[in-house]
Amino acid sequence: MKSLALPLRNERGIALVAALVIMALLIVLGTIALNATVSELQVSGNELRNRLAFYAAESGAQFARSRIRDEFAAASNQVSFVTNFASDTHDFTPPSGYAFSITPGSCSTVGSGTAADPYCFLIESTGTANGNASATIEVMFHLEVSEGPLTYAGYGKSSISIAKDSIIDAYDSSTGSVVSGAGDLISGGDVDLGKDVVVDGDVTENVTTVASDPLGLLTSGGVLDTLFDAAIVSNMNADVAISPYVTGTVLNIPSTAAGSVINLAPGDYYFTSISIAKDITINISGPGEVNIYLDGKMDVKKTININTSGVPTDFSIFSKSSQSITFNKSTDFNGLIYAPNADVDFKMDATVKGAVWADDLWFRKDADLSYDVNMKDKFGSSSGALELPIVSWREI
Amino acid sequence: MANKRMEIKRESGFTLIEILIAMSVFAIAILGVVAMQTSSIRGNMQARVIGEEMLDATSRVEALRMLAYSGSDLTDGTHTDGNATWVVSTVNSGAVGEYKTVVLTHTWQLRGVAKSYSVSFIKSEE
Repeated sequence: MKSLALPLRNERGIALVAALVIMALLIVLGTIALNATVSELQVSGNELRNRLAFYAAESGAQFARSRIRDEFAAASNQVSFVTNFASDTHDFTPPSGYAFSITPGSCSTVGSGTAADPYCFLIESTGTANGNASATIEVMFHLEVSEGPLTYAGYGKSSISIAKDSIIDAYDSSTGSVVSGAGDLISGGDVDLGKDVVVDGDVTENVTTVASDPLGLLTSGGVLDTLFDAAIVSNMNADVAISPYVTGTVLNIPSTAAGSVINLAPGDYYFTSISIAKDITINISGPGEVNIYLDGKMDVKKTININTSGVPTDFSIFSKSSQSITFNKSTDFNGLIYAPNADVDFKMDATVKGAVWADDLWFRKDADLSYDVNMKDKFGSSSGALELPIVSWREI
Repeated sequence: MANKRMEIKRESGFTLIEILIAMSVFAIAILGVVAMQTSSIRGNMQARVIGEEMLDATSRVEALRMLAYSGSDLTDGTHTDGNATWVVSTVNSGAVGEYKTVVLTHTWQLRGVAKSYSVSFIKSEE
């Protein structure tokens, strides 16, 4: 009994054992604290990388919006662009320094572009960051295309007079095909149609609901007024094609120039008076628009061809003046005349494609006015500021 | 009786050598544990600072993302406010496909060492 009990009762070395036990406890506690710290550091790092991935994905959505805007504006057929958005390939290559990839998706309905039923675009953007971090978001944009005010073949603030055997119709300059029923005439006063005049569209008289200057040419600070002021300063009147005929801001192409072809460079021109003698052809020398800002009289003699090989939306005459714009017989003009305060008078045999906006609008005998349906986009949103608000957003 | 007293005497207290060994072992262990605790506290502080600075940087990014596209804080060039510096540049300026790239760098000091976060994002008009 004694020999068994003795070793148990022998407490020599107990201090060392106690020290070791306490030490082990402290080490365990220390390790737990250290582990917690390490995982906290990892959590911080992961959170940062996830944030970066999220911002990459969000950047992708923002980038996609600017690409969609760009591609939509450049699309020759905007409706098919919207319809085929999900299946077509798009250039969504991210700029350098950004790590995201974008996949176009399809909305349940693509919409028709109106305020009530806007176009719909769906994209999925995946952003990545170091350490396999990634975030995916799905964003839906809406796009509403508003028409510009140039929706009529002819507008006359005070009156429209069309003499006999004239034809008013409409076509689409991008396809060349006839658009039936779109050759509309509208006036704040009377519309006087001569014998055998054919109007393939609506004729509306004494309208008070249509603004006579919807583009803000005569209003200080209006859209066109601002462009007009800029053109006075930056005008290209020194362009070599017309420089022999320009004195200051007066353009005078004399009869000695008959038979000439003048190729105007795209840009803005400002004149206080224009007179063109007979038998002159004026074209645009390259891609782009020619805008003529006029503050005075315009008098054009017979057999003049203006922009006949170009599209009407590229050639515009904006007149601030109340002095008349007169074309003598056999004018062939592709473009827009916007002169809300001036009388515009086309003598016999005029062929005009585009649109005419005037105070008193006259077409003499045998005129042919074809409204270009693309005019409605000229100052509408589909040519410029396209708003693509985000209508739905979710993280996947 | 004498024998019994002897036995009690032997069980009471520790020998000096025993105490010395135990204390030195304990001291070495405590050193290690203290070192562990120090690095743990330091790591905790670092994690906290990283978290705080990240919140600072991302709240700045959020504020910039919510700004109007043409706001004065998003004009081309370098902007500075407090610890944050951001560089804005407009791509395809004036064209339909215009957008802005923003690179924000948030800098701070951690125990005398300069640290920074860099967040890049893109902004496009509504």
